[in-house]
Amino acid sequence: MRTFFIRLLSIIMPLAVPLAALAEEPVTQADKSTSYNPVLISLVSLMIVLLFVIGGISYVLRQLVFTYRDKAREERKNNQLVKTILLLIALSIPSYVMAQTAADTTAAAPHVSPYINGIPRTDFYALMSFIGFEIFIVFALLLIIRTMVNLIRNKPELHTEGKAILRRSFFDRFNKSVSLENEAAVLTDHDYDGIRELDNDLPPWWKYGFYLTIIVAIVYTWYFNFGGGPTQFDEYRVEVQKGEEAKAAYLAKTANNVDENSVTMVTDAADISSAQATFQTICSACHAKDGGGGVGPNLTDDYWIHGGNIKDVFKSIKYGWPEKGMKSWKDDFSPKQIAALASYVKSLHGSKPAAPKDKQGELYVEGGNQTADTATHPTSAIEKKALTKKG
Amino acid sequence: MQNSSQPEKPSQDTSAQEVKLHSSVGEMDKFFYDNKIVKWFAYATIFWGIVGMLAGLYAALQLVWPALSLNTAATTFGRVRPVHTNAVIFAFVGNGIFMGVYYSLQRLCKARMFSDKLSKIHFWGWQSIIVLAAVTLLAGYTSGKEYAELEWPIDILIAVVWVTFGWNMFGTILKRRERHLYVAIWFYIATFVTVAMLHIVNSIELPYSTLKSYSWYAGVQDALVQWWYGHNAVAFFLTTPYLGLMYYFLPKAANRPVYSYRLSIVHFWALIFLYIWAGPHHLLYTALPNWAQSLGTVFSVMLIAPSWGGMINGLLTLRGAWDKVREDVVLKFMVVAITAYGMATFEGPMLSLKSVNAISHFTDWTIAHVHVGALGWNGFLTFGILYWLIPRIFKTQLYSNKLANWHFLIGTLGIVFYAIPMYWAGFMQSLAWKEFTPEGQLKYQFLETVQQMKPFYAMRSVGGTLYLIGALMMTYNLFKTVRSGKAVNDEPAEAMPLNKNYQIQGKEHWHRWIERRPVQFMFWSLVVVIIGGVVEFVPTFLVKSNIPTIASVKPYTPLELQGRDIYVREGCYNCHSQMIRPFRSEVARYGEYSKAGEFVYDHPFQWGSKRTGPDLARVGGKYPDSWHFNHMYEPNSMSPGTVMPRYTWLFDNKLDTAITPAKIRAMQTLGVPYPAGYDKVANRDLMKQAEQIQGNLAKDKINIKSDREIIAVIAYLQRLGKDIKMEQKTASAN
Repeated sequence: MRTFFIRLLSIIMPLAVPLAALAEEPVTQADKSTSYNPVLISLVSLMIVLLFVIGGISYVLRQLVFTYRDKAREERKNNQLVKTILLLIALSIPSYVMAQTAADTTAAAPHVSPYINGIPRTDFYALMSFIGFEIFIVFALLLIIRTMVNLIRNKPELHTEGKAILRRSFFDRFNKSVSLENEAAVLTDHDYDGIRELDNDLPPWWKYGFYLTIIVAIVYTWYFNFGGGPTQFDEYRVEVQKGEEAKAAYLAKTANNVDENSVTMVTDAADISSAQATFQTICSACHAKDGGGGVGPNLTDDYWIHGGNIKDVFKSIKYGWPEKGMKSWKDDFSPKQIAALASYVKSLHGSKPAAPKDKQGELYVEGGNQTADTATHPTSAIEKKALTKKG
Repeated sequence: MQNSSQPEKPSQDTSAQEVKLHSSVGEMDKFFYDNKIVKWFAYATIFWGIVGMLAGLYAALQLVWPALSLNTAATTFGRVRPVHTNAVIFAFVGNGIFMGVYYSLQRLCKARMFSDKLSKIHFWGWQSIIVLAAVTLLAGYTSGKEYAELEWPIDILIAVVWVTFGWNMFGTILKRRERHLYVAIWFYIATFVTVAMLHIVNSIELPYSTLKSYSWYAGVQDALVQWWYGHNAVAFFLTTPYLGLMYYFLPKAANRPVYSYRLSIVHFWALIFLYIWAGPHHLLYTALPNWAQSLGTVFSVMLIAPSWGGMINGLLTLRGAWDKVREDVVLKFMVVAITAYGMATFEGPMLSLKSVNAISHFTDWTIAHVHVGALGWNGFLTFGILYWLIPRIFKTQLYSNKLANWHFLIGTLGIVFYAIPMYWAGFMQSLAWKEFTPEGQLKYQFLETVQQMKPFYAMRSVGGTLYLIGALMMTYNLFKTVRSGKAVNDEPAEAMPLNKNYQIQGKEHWHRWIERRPVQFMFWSLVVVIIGGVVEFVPTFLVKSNIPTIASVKPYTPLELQGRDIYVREGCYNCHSQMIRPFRSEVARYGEYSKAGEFVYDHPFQWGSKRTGPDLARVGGKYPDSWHFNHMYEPNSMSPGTVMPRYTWLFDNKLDTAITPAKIRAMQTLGVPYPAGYDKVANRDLMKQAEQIQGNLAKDKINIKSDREIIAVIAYLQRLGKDIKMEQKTASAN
């Protein structure tokens, strides 16, 4: 008990010291290009977990061997002892091999061009085979333990005890609790207002789970502070890059990449009606549902503050005029949607709004070349296909 | 028999007095347990529980029908929600703690409470704090820090009353007739010292008027201190005292020995040591330095086992008593409570993992998580204790077991109906926030996601209503129980006094040593809980590189400062965050992610913890002044379908400019670099800026006097995030 506690503290306390030192150093690792690879991390953690499991099982086995050896010695059955020693030797082999493999893994060359899940091929195979080997060891050890238990149970002097162990329910064994009938054995002399206390052992799954979280904590702290793990800013850059790539790939396939230089009047009815819906829910806050203006200018008259050309209107929506209160919408709507919106706005020209705002800006007279552009624009069919959602 | 003038005497209505029986064999002390104070705290628990739940229900319904804010400042969500949280945590659970501690401590120490007078001062002090809290919060006096909203005079009162409680508790422990301290008392001691530490450190503030103050800390540091406090308020107000109560009332009700003494020791020390460190998990992906965030994550992960240690020790104590659980409603409540505790303390560490937190944070997932803890663990354990305690104090039977079973059923359903819609809502909304179209645009406007939330908010209210109905059934049941019995205000008891010379008999566990020494126990628990805070605070406060300064970040103008104080007063931070995390979706929606250096003049910080509305960190300059004007007056006009309430009083209230100089001086004391003597001329600048905004509004045909509060609010909102934009402009010009 005491040792457990001390061990626990000794594991946690050193954590605090490097952390204070860490604070002095600004986060300068931001430029490291190590990208976060979930597959690699899960494989490595699986490897560590398995190592841990093997450690635990070996420990149990060791105890069993000692128990068995003592009993054997008492009976002076030398042939049994030989068996035990053989077993011990058998045991030490896997751990020896294990250490070898571990060394191999770390030494594996990182640069082989074909990757598997972002991990160099050799590393990946080394990792996988190591994990496979670990699983093999776990099974082998479990088998040996079973044999050992059987061996011990065959001993007459251990028979009754073994039976008692067997009688305990799965749940009791799982928690390492003393069974209800034998409770008196672990009952302390504590008595507080009639409350008694048992002193059952710590449930093993709980105890080793606790150790495991401590190991995870140490590895995590090391990895994300010293081991080159990605900072939140690294993650951000990767996310944005991936997003931009996906977007570029998509736009390259579609005719969505209209900008203020190439934009033309959109005539497709579905596009216009979805633009109308957007206008009436979002733009109407400032420009009124019928475009008559309010906080923002009247969009139905002949006067425009920033130009009434389709390209100008597109530009106003896309980049906004933040100092005058018109925000940029390029992050909210796709270029095609903005084109449709601009076209819808232009279609409001000449309508009679309920409460028109006074004219603002310059008089604008529609030029003649816009319609020609629209007619010759080759992409409206593809546009129609691409734009379906977004209410 | 001889009379003595010990402090340990029952209240005046009985003639009984402490007596010592001197016999030749041994001296058996006869004394009386004080049940009256327990009874009062029990009544207060029930009363404030109902009040707190009603406030919660009212706040919840406002998110479904915003008109329920009644267009009145005091009944608006931003002020009602802190009343709900404070009432439930400090009034309901607080009184529940005191009820349980006063009952169990006396019995575990075999002694009456140290002083009846202190008990009374404690009781009435705490109730007056609650009343003052409710009144001031509704009146808009708030420090703007979650779960620590109360203003400085009340903070001082809390400290005094808390120390009274500790004094009374320690007095009792010191005159105990039981050699060793039971595990429940360990938890009570840890609770006392840690809550005192948390409250004092987090409430350091500079008053600038009789009821208002600024937090001593700013920005990142304030955030770190606040969530160190906020997280550990959960740990040391909602968890450790209740674990103590569990350790007393569960074995009592089940009549079974506690499962494992050594598990108690390990999980107690590990729990209080590890918990303190975990605060930064509330600030993942924020401008908090990376190393502090890592600490928050790993200490949360390590907390799973110590937390579960409590659950295991509780549930395994019931070994051999599960047949009783099926019949005894008290045990049913306790089992659900412990299970809810186990679920919440497993979920907590999961939410502290960055990848999960990236989804859950700022959404209703967090709300679901805390309500599993509050409704399940705290609520149900309190109900279980009440059902066990009241019949015992009144020497009678529970009025109706059937009704209590119905309470159990309805309450459980209430929790389920509350939690599931909130989990669902949180997960859905978060995914919607993050979703991009193939064109690389955000798929949903923020407002669209708010509208999707409404059905879930409605369902949650149903769950809350069920839970409240259950609590009302309990109230009736206990009322009838009380009527059917007669209170035993002074319960006779006897015990052997402690022998001064203690001889250890046989081999004893090493931990017994400290169990005999309450003062050392308190000292060492304080040491254990101090470590985490020190390691996290000292570098953040002293090492410059943790908060890189940004040259373009300037102090708020007087008008903006005034507007900011109104923002705090109206509790805007209850629904709006000011912290853009470095995610593609957030940068696209709100702008450049937030930097630590941007918040250096924010006393208090206003990062928020929930986005019922959008983030406001960079709202400055996004809309024209007239947009904000219309939006604050009638949010639906600018954002159709919004759940934001109206703030019409801001258009009638005149801005209090008389206080401006005091505010400027306070900020100067806190290190904000206003020029010397600026307080005298601050109002001149304030007027100038106000008239400018008035002018902008007039251009959009809006006429309003420049001395209204709304002008200051607009000034503040238009400033948010501007400093960084300025820097980018100058950078690109160069």
